[in-house]
Amino acid sequence: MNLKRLFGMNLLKRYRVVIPVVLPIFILVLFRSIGPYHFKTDAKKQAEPSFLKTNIVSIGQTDYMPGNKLIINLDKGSGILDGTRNSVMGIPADSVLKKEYFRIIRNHEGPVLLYSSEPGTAARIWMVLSQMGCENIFILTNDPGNENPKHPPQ
Amino acid sequence: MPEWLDLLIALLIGIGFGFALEQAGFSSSRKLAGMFYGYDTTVIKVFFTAAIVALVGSQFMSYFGLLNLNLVFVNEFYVTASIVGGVIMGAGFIMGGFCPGTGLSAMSIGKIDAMVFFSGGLTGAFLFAETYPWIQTLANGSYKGPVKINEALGISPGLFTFLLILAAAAMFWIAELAEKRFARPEITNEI
Amino acid sequence: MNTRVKFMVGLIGLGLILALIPLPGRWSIQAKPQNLLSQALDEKTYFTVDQVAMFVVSEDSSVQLIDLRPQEEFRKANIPGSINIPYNELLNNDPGRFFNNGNTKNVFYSNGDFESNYAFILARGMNFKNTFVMKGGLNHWLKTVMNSSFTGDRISARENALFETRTRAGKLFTEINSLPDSLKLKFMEAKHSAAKKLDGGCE
Repeated sequence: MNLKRLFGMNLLKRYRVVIPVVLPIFILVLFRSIGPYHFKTDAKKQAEPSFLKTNIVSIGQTDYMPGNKLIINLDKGSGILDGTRNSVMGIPADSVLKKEYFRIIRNHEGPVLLYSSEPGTAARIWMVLSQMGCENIFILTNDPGNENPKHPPQ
Repeated sequence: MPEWLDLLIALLIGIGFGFALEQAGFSSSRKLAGMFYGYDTTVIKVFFTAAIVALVGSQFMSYFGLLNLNLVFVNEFYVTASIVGGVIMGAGFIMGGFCPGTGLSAMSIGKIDAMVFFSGGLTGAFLFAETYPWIQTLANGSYKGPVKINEALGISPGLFTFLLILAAAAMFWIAELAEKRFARPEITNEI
Repeated sequence: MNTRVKFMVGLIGLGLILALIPLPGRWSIQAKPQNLLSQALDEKTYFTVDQVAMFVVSEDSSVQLIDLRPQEEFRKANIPGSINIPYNELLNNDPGRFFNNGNTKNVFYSNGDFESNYAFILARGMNFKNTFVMKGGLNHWLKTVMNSSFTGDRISARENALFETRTRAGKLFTEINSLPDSLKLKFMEAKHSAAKKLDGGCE
């Protein structure tokens, strides 16, 4: 195989069939990689805080968390969060992926705490946001022992 | 997707595959056996090219969210059965000059050697089923699960694809050399 | 230039792009973000403990309960018919092995609401649409189904049906969980292989 012939002069002319196939794919890949609105490839890694149970915070614990905390109320109305000293923002669960809100969550410097009166909803939103690469987000709950066995089986 | 549509697509793909095999000349046992004697390496070029094109296509489709590779079936790997079965299959391929797919393709155009080959295959399948209680331990030995090569090697799927393409290019170059070295014009001019 | 050589150069170029980008692995979320969020907020992805009690009582083979608690807790007590995949080990296995059968509804439960819903998002994210969650978890089952009682003079037909289902499910729960481990294992294996026979396909 003659390498000089392969990569010599008139490269574009020689590969005028190959380049229109490879180049558009390369550009599409570039756009896809740069944008933040897609899931990360390693689901296990993004879900790790849930395996270690380090992503759950009780209301009492928020005072001891360092950094500028942002509490996101996923329900409509502020409920039990009235009177907390932290900044609270109401973002309905179905709007967390809207660009303006997602940017706030993703770019916030400090812990982001997700609250919902339905613990299942908070858990689901937490996992969706974590898988999209949001770090330093937690579930804020008034029942941190939710996953502990509470009633002895008879 | 309704089941009838799944089956229709499978039928159309099967027809396309059989057509492609026949058009490439894979109904000829001498062309297929040529892979092992070196005078005709079309088989490895066609099948390896198909494999790497499918691999590249499926990886890009997965990347752009058009295909969920988690839903694609991955064969379960039994080490012992793969080695023993591979040896039997390889020996049968050289002796018979067909593999199951190409045998069916040849049979469909009326080749008698393919018909005999296929009935041999059915006999083998029958014997396997009848002797299964005795060979079960061998067949199920060294089970590794549905393993992918890149996971076993600890490299990313993309890197594995690239290395496989390079390996294919090297293989094709060696195949071209082999064809020159082991040329049998009295056979290749006929097929 | 030789067409085959150009073709190989093109493939090598594409291979090089693939080598440099992070591709989805076996455990990657493949669904579109907005789509997954809609599923996350869909109330139809939850089953109540009463609905699960009905599945248990009627031995519905189209439902597979998946207990995400640690193995020791599962051994002590579990909802009859469940299989155990501890949440921490969920992504160690091939997800397709458990969730690939479109005819089976896979219902996650844990003690509470967190782990079952994490698992739900992971499974739905990998496009396994036949996954659901038992709302409230085992804590809610024990509180509601096992401690079911009726007070008052009159009972409506609906309340009666509910009470009956809860009582039967509770009885089954107690009976199965009081069996010694070896018999419990046999019962679960028998249920598992019976369900597999119904699904068909190759092992």
